[in-house]
Amino acid sequence: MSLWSEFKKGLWSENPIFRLVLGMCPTLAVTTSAVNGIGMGLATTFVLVSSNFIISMIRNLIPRRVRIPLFILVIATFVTCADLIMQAYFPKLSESLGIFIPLIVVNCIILGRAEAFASKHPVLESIADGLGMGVGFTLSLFVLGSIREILGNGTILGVSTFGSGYLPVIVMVLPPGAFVTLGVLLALMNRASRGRA
Amino acid sequence: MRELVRQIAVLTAIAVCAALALAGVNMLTKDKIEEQKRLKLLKALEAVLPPHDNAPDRDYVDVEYGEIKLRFYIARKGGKSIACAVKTWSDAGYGGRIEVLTGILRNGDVYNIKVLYHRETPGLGSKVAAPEFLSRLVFKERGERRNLENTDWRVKKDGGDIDQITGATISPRAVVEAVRTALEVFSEVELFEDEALSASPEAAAPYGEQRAGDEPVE
Repeated sequence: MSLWSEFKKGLWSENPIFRLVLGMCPTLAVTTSAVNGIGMGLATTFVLVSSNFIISMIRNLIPRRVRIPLFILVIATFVTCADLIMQAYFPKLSESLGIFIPLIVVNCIILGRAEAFASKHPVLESIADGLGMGVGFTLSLFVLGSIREILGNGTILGVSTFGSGYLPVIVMVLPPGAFVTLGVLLALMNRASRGRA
Repeated sequence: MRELVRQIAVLTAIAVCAALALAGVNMLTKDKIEEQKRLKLLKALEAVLPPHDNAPDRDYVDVEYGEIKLRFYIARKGGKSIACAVKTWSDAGYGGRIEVLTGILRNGDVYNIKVLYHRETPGLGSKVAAPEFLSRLVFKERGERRNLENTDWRVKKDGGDIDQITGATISPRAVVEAVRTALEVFSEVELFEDEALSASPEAAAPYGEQRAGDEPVE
């Protein structure tokens, strides 16, 4: 398979949120605004690409029986790096994402890609896979966050959309809004790709 | 046996590499993170204190009041203390703890209030962090600043002087409670006592003028 198709599959046919339905905890929790969605998505992409890269590099050295603790160790290292860098350079974002940045460690997309892909494929393909999954994740979170922000807060990326006369549907930025939006988008995705898969 | 040794060796090697990498990143970001924390505190202090010429985050007095420990940040102008700010909190918010920074002038009047942390419902309780609500805690109806004597620090629903927010009583109640704590501790500890005694009339005068100038035009 070419690098491009490894990248592309994360965007649609194996989109981590809408097709694999992985990583639901950050998906539901942080998408209260478009910026939060992008921030979470980019942090996850960074961890995903870095851990895929390292794990693919050392894949022939890893003893099978200790591979899971090894993966977690590598992932946790990159998550901690991402957390520290965000605290230092994006304090606002780091504050609004809060506990969900350290929790990227247990995001099953990352361990899933390490186990299912990076530990069995060469370095370049693993990077393409991580990048595709990361971008697919980021786009999905951005769409979810945008819809919830527009309806629930009347803004998009902090800019007012409907003017001051708009009365926000507050429930959209509360937890129920996350489930409703995700459900509707999942249904639309399934409808759009019917017969293709 | 050989397999076991290999497993241990690989795990140890990776763990050592991870530790080294993290130590490096930590060293690179440590100062920046400290600086961001300080900037955040300074920004909050600027918002609740009158114009000053010292660095209040490095000029503080720690006070133990009953079971709670509070840090009073002192604002000075020309070497004279003019106001202080203190962080207090209440755990009675709808979403748990609410932290509030209150700026208090020397005479006990509230200068300004900022909500530092809350987890209240967006669009309802979260309005307690907005200036529209907080200004009710700073000024009385006729623009006079509130203090411990001229205000009953409870929400109207509980028989006090502070208007709650339509649809939300619990969050304002918690904020009011936190501010009341700040004012009560302030009135007990007399932070500026020693200076007040040594202050000459000339030194005290500009403070009075400045305060008059600060009165809002409403």
